[in-house]
Amino acid sequence: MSGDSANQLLLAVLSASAGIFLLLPKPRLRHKSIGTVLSIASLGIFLAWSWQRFGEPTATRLETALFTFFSLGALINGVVLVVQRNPARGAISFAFVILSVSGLFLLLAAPFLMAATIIVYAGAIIVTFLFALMLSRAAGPTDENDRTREPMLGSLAGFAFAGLILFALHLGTPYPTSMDDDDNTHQHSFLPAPILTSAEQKLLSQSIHALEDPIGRLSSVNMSDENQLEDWLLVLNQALVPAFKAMDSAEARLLSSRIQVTKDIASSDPSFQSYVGDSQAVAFKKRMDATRQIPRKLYRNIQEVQDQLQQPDFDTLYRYVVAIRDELRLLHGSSQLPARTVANLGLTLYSDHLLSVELAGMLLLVATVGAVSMAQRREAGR
Amino acid sequence: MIGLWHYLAVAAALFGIGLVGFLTRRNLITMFLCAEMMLQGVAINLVAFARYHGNLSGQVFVLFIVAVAACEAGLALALFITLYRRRKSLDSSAWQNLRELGVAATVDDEPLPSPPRVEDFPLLPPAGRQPREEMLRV
Repeated sequence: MSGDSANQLLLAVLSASAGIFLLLPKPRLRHKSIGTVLSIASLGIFLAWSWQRFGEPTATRLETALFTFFSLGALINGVVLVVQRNPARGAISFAFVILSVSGLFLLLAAPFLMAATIIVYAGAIIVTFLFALMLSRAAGPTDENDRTREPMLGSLAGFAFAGLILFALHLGTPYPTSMDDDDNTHQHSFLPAPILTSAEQKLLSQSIHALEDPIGRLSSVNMSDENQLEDWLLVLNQALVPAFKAMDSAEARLLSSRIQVTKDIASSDPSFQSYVGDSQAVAFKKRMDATRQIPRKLYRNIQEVQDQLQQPDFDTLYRYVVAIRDELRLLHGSSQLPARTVANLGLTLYSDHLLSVELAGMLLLVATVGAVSMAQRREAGR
Repeated sequence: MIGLWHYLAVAAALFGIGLVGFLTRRNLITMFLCAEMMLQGVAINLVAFARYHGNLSGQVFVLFIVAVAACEAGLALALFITLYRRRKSLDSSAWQNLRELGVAATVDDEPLPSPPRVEDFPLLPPAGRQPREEMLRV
């Protein structure tokens, strides 16, 4: 089984290098038709290999079709970019690569990245296009467009590298999919769409909305008055009830379907021993556990402070409540495709990664200054 | 749903194609586009892992990749202008005297195919007075 797969990969790598070698622009040995046939053959072998190795893309047929369309679009246009002798046409096929990759981003529930990639690269491609038109000289063969550097070694090296990565993927797959085709219980490498059901999602968003009330009311609570504090805690509890209900049901479902099942398989089959379970479910469960800890910490904090006969601190309480709300939002957003990931991405960027955002902005500024100073025309003698 | 591994395989293939282009092509603009394509392969990897683990860290990484790619594009294009002014060519081998010590220089000994010559005959516009029809009939 393993040797078969490896042979397939080797064949794909060899035919891809041979095909690209024949397609690359050079004075001699350029056979477009044979090269195209070889490249398409290697693409077909690659597809067959991934289908056989990682299993057929299941669930919805539409999604499978979209995935195939976008990935084929990216790969084919990438090959066209590499073998195209006119850089302006290369820029156009690069635009198609970007569009296909954006489609893949959309399938992976990253709508903001899709938009950002298209916006940034649209500008980059147009500028590149202008450069190609501005700097390319008169028609006719030129050194830069019609010659290649070590075409055979280059294509062998590049595709051997890709083949090694694919072989590592082949070795790293936690289970052989072709082991038993009729039993689908261990198809856990699929990116599972809904980690929360829509009912659970609704409960979570109810809680998120209800939390606005205790957050807004906190500033008017007189901390020294225990009754007012009690009332406020009651409101907070009320707001949290749906969220806890949602988390309980999600946890029960995940444990019974996506964490426990893999453990059963692992105990029955020794080749699954190292496979701990569906990592998305495990990570989600960990997250829910951490979220549950926050209200507990809040109550413990109030308790401790009151034991020492002091008033609870407004800032501390506020921080805890906002943390609860943010965590619930992230939980709610990590479930499904809808554009809510955009809001969550913003939340993550400006809470956990604020410094990195500032650094990226700094980097852009420095790059702009560098580009201006490099491209500026220096006068002779200076 | 589609497996994580399918995305990783596509990303690896895209990276490989970009690598081949970067290694073999000599036009600076094409090399730059191929490098960007390799970055896209990495971005697919990161987003797929983010989806697989159900968090957003991978997407944040990709945003930074996009920012760095934008910086890189600006600097690279500025560099191309400077290089083009010196050598009047976008050929990266025009700068091969910057290569490592002890590495033989690339010599292009095969002649480039010459394009088929197109004869451009002059197009003569009609001149003088137009003859009358009865004169033509004679």
